[in-house]
Amino acid sequence: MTVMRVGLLRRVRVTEGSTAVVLLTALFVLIAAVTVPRFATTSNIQALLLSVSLTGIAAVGLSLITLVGRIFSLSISSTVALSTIVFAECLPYGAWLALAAAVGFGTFVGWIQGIIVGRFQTDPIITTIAFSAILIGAGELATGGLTISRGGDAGIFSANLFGIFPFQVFAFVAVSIGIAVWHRFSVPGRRMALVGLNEKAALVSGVRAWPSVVLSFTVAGATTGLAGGLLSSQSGQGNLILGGTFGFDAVTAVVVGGIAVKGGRGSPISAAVGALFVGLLGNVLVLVGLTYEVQLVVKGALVLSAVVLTGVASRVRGGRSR
Amino acid sequence: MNPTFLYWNFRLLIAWGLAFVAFIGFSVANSDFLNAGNIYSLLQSLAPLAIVAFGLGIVMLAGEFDISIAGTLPMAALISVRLSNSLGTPAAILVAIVVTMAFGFVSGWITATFRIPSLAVTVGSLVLAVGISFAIANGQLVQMNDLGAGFALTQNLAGIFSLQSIIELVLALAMIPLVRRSWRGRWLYAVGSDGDRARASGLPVRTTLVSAFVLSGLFVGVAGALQGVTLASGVAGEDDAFLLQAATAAILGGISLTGGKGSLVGVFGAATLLAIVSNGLGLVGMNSAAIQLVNGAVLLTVVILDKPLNRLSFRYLQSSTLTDQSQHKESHV
Repeated sequence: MTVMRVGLLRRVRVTEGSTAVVLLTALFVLIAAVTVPRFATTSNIQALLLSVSLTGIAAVGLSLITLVGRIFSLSISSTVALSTIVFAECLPYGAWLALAAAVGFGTFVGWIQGIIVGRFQTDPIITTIAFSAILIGAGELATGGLTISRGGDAGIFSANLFGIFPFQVFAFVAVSIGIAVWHRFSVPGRRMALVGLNEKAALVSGVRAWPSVVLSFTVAGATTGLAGGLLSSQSGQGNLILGGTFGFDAVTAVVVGGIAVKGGRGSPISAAVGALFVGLLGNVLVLVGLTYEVQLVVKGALVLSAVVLTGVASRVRGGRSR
Repeated sequence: MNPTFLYWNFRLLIAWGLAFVAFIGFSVANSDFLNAGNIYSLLQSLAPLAIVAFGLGIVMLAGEFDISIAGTLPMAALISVRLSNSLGTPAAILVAIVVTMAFGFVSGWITATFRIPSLAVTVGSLVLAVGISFAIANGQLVQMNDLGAGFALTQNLAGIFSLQSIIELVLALAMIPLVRRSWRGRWLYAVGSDGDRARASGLPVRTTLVSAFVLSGLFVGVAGALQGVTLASGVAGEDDAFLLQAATAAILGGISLTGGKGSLVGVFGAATLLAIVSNGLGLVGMNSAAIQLVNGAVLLTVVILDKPLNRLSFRYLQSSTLTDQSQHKESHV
């Protein structure tokens, strides 16, 4: 528990990928506020936060999988898509119940994948690719590829809370802070970090890997379901095409946030900052007048360089590669 | 049967056995299955799958994984379609292949130089490839004017072949002896099973890794460009279904996820199995969603059974060779 006593501030170093992204984001906001007209307006900030929040929620959950040393889940997009369908199906029975159903569905799907990856020690990427195919196939059989709209009112999730931001922005902030605090100060959270850093050392000190893996996949599933439910609440509809770019946006956020792909190093809050940074970049690129296509290319280049940078940084600090 | 042979070729035998069973099963179940026309369409779907699965398999033998296939395949199709109107079809195909090889080179170079997990690196190149695809398509369905090239590629040759399937199958089958017999092929196995020892023995680890990724890029480029030309149109996006099939073929065919073990003969058997199953299920009227579901379930079953099956065949090997165990010290994960 010495890690806790060291405190938050003393561990902040500029070489740390996540710190660099925070500084970069702050710098970017400053430059954008001064040079780009229409950036520092209330409506633009609101739009920016709204566009970032759902990806951010999914990314924060996904970061737990990365932190526990299981790289990524590639079934985020399909889980989001199916969650929108679950939400739309349950909406007539009440908005909160529909949201709970979507979260419950995501949790269940994540839990199954966690059991497979953790207990049967399968490769996370392959397992989640296969699971994604099963989910999409099942969803297409169930819906016939059609849009689900059963009526019902989900207005409470899009109405502005306290007159400032809509519910999903608050959900994003709450989920990010909640999961980050849980990961840093709770016993299960610390176990996850240990397993991610060094699985053998964890085993020697009596911490088995698979419960942490199952836990991380389950929480990631829950946040993905939440993102899907909130996405569906915007239109009250569910569709398999919804959530198409979610998976890669979440991966982008995690990687850009500076979370080491090899596991252990970083905090879920970095994923939230990463999502914010990517959203900010997209927002500014639009304001400057670049097209959506160019944004995608920039995003790809960004991910690739972030992977390299965090990889190099963790190698320099860690001394040797594992 | 020789237990050593059984241990090393366990998956290969399963893949070919299942492919054989599926072939017999569908021929009995549906009389249309053995039609020359159906065999032709079976080969049309097998050839691109086999070549892409071989590229992925070679990368996996070297202990890495190339997820960017899902993005570079549609990108190659788009490039060849887009450029054929201005450069002519052959040059357009060439450019598409060069671009995907460049993608392979960059992924391989980053992976080998910075020793970052290739899964993370290729997720990056996947996002980049999808971005470039959208930039090329510019929000539209891209079409080409030169329809003759597509007809020439898909024209029926000798009843069941086409120029497209012959090119892809020949290119794929040529890799089998190269990987099995040549020095460079053996380096792949050495690098994949233990990179540090391979480096200590003086093998060119980085060159081997980079060439594996470049080869994968070449094969994806060929498959994607030919697909684009035969369809005469391209859409931006990612082809997850194809990546799923290629990965299933490589893993089902016996290529170990940790690298260094497996053979392309097994991958070919598994690709044949997948092509037969997709074709046969389509023939009996199953829709594509159900086929994708079956594919996903097959892959999931294989990854779950991977370790128990490996352990089982390893035990069988040990129990039958108790007398000369020293020869088979093969460490087992």
